[in-house]
Amino acid sequence: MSDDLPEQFDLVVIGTGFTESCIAAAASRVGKTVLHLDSNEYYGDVWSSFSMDALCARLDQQPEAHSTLRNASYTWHTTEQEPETGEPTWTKDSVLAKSRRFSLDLCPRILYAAGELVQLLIKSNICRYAEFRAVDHVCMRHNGEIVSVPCSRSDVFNTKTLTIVEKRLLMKFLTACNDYGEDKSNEDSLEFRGRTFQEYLQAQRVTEKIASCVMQAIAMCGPTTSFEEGMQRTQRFLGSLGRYGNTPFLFPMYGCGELPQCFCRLCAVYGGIYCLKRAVDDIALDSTTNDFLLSSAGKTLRAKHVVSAPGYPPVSKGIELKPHISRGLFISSSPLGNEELNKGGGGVNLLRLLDADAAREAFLIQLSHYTGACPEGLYIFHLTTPALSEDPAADLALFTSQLFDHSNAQIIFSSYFTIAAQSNKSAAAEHIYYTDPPTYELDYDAAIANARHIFGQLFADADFLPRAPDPEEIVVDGEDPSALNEHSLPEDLRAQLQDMQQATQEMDIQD
Amino acid sequence: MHGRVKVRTTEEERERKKKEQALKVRAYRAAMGRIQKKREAGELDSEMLTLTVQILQRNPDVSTLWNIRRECVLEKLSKLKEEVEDEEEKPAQEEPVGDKPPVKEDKAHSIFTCELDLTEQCLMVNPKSYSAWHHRCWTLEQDPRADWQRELQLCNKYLKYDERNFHTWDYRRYVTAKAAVPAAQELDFCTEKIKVNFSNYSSWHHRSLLLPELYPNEQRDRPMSEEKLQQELEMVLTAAFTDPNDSSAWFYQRWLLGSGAQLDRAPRVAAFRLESQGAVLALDRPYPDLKQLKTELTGGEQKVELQSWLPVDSSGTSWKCQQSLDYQRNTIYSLKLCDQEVNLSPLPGPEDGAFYFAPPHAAASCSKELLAELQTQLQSCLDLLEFEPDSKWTLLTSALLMRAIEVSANHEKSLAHLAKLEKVDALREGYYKDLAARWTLEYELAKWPQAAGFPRNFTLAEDVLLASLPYGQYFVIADELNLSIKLREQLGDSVPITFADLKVKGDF
Amino acid sequence: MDFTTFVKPSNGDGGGDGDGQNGQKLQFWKHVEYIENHGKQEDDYEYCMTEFLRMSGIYWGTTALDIMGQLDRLDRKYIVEFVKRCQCPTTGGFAPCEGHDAHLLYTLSAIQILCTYQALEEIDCEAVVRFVVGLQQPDGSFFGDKWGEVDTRFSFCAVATLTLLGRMDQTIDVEKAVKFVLSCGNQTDGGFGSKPGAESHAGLIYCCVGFFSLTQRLHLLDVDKLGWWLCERQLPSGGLNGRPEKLPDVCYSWWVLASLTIMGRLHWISSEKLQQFILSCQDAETGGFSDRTGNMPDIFHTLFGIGGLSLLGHSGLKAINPTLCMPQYIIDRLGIKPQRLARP
Repeated sequence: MSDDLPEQFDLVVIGTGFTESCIAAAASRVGKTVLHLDSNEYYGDVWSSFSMDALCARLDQQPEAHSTLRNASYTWHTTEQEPETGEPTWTKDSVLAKSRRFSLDLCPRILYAAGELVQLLIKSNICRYAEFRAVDHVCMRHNGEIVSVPCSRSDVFNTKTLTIVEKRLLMKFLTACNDYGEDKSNEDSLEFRGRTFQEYLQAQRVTEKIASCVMQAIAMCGPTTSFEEGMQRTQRFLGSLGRYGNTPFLFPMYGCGELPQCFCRLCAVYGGIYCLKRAVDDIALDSTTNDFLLSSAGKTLRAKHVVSAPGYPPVSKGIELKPHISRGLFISSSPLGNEELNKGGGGVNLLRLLDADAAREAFLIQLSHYTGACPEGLYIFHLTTPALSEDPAADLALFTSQLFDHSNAQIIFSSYFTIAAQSNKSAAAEHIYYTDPPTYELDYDAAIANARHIFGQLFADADFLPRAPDPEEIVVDGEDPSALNEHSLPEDLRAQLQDMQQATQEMDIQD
Repeated sequence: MHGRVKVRTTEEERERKKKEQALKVRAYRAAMGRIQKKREAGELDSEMLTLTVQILQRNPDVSTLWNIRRECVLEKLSKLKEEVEDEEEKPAQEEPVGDKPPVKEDKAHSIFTCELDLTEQCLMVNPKSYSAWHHRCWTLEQDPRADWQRELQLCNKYLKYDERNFHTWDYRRYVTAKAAVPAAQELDFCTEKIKVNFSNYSSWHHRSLLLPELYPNEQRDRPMSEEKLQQELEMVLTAAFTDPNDSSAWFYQRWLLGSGAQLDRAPRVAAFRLESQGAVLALDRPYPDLKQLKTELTGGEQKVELQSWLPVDSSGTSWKCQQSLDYQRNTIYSLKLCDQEVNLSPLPGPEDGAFYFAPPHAAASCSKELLAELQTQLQSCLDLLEFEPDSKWTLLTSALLMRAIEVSANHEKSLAHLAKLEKVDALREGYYKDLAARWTLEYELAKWPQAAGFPRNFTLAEDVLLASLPYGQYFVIADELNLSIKLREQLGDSVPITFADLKVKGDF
Repeated sequence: MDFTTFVKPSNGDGGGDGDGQNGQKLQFWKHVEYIENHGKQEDDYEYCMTEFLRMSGIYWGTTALDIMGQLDRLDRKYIVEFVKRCQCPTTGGFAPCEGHDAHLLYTLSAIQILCTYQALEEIDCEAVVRFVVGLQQPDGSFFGDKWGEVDTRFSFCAVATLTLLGRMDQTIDVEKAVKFVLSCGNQTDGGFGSKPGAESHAGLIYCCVGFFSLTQRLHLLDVDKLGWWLCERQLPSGGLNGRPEKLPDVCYSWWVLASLTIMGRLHWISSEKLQQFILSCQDAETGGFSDRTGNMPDIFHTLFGIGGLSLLGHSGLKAINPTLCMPQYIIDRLGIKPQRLARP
């Protein structure tokens, strides 16, 4: 930790979670001086991923009033013994022995292949820093079984669970949804304005099986979701198909904790400065300059703007938090679902769960070693639902019983925790912007929207992570934009160019 | 950073491109000039190869340059051969080192590798270049160490980029033949390809080559064995329903429902009539000159070869023979045309004569299981029509299915589908009208033997509307055609000629 | 939105709204101008890069102008001299351009040009016959040149060349040639590909149907099956594609149309909609036709656009012979009668 730190910054960001890192990167990109701090010795805060040891340690930590992670507990289970060897393949010790092969997310999501985050990563070239794995199956529960939802023409063609007429109707329906946006004045949009998506589905000639498939797994909506919203979500799903792999979804290799780090990397490339294990001890406002004065490890720093994640005192003093997400994290030695869902030793699958009235939902992400998040032979189940209480296990009970009661899952480790969010907007100090903690969503849209919003408040005229130009398109001031760049020409053309220039010179001389 | 970063406008980009193109023209002219000079001087060397590469990489269709490369390759190979022969003539100084021959082969192999690499580069630029593909084939033909498995992998790779590239498929067929890949394995490959993307006419086509070979049909009246046909029908209809906008599956289905007829099979006897003055013969398909085929009439002890056939009209399907034939009552006659032999029936009525008639398009054999499959399919199609009454392919295919299951019961309905298709698929109105005419005539001709005046009279009811009158040759054995006035007017000169007409004209 | 896995992107087919695009009118003089100027720009990039097919380019231009009755706008002498220089003294065949090698494709184009200009006696016809005959293989197929590529296009080129020279008798083995072309037929759709086993394709079908027309063997075709497959090439925009699920292209307006005409099934497509499509492919600014609406024109598509319109009976254009793709009056003048089937 060098104390050659400059003393003046345009922006100080406290906490290296996803949203904060986006903002830091965006600010640095447009030329602002940025200092990015985190009192933890790792990046990502509650958006981070952990090795097995580190997760247990983190869950063991006593939460404080301002902690976004709370109500944490975990249990090791003994599993059945292998019939041949008489010993269980996996025990607590053998799992811990491979601690470093785990990348366990506190707040995992999956990404739509054509969604906001992916587009942002590509546009700003941050994708250079990240690797992804296509999600293998999108699933739903049907008659007590976990089944794969057809995600492509090929899936629809091959599935044995629909009759050919049903296949046709499904395709027709999805095509209609896909074309919907192009003609807002069409009959359907007029007829169903203000009504629910479920009503629209019922009015289409689709069977019950197809309707539940669309509601549950494609549009992922409930009985009260509006027609427009349902169409939009369906289009979002369809629009991400066919880009990478067989489903519309991607998962970051080595866990979602990689993503905040990517933004941090970009921030650093453009000049941002990083300090981990560095807390801010105090913060005050200088009334004459309107700068913030932060004291940290004995040094005083000045910043025009401050952005902070809510879990960092003293900056977040006075912020009240309440339960927002209930999380379950399980490690199993066998996957959920049948062989077809887990070809080749482990599917990376997404499953959306509902309660009987479809009033409550949860999503399950199953990860296998293919994502680099766990060793081969083990599976991670991430379960997430909006919190109802301070008891995450109770909140998730109805979903865990759906999943585990009649399955072959061999749970070795189970843990529960709560992610909390602000209940009011009291500011510890004026003009500090607090990012929202992770919210219940499948992708990062809300987080990015939050980052854009705060960025917009800070730097109203600047571009949020503009596109990086291709080297070829760049014209340096003073150069003729329609001239050829000798160095980017292949050998034979360069030779011709030189010949031509020579000939012109000789002509000039002759003149 | 000094200098503002700016991105080119389209106008500036266009300007830049033009300048680049001017350079390319110069480079091309310079290189071609040099190449032609060297060729005249017989310099088929490495410099030549380098010069051709520059042009071919940008434009792989300049086939002359590939020719020159081949000349260079052959030149190099023959030089290598000379070297080896020279070496072999020298007395052996030491123990022959084990790897002497391979050194020459290595050199040759690297020559071939160079060609293969270049074609691969060129194919990345233009995967549809006839010249590049041909050069690859040529190179592999020259190379005794050609790695056909690798070529198969190359095909797989290219097919991933573009499943419809027929060059790649042709190349695949070439390679699998060389590598002696069993047809069953290729069929599996095809099946996998279809599972991933069933709307691929090229995959279905490839499949259609393998199936008749692997599962031949004994009666030769269907494209493959009935059992396999049933499986294929199921698969193809699923494809057709899953994406009815893609026509590949529907085309394939129509083939499956057809008779699998071969293009060059000999024509068969459609109708024949014999009286003492002469005979007429109608063929089921046209033939330019019947005299070239052997026709033989057998009756009792006699065997007469029928010659002096003349065409009745320009269609090539109707023929008349003016040989005097000694027709005996109470004798059973048979007619042989090439390999087909048919028994004649005596002509009803006072005049002496015999005839034969086989209505067109006889139904193929159909096992119980196949019939059940066809009926299931028809039901699915009809179900779908309730949701999509204007679906052209469903309308057409269900009509074909109806006729494959049972023509007479379904005749009216199938025509109704065609009438609907004339509206729903109006571009092809002419086709549907002609198809309706064919189906109607097939139906009428199938009924004809039960009619009172058969075979002397043929009557077509007034209300039968036809755009044309196909199968005209079948009427050459009749005396009288009762057609509506409207139809006669429409047909004008192309009203079919009857036996009676020929008698009147004095042909007999 | 690239929604390829549930629904394939629509094949770009405009769906028939050619009205008022480039108008329904034939931009006659624009096309004349376009063709006349083609070939005057030696240093033009596209022109240079297509040098390897120059002979065919000239044939396309001369034929198109002749159909429009404007052949005299080209320099006959210059062209004939060019053609003469391209005959290879050793093989007898013609190269596309000087400095290139002889090939059957360009030999046919050369002969077609010379027939147009009635200049056959200025070249060595016997050498051409020897060239063509020498390329026939034991299985009846034809190489394109000595390097061994086999393709039914070459079968067509061989019989067309010999027919135009009036030398079909006792030269090539016609029976074997027929047998080979038949072996390239597909019983699935009645169509033909370039080699045995190849997928049916409208361009190759044209070559094979033309081949049978020239050898008087149209009876070997399954006319109803093939005719259906061909009429299914017409898309909602009225344009024709070359095989299923492909985009429409003006050149198929020739190949499909000519095939249907030879087979007596022209009435199986909508002539009106096809005309609309072809006309929508005109470039009103520069003249010439492009492959489809809105793209850059070229001489190849210009010939086939004009040719297609002629087959459809568009006014102001001379009749074109569907088998040989040359003005009918020239075919008549040569006394050639390719077979053609009547409408049922």
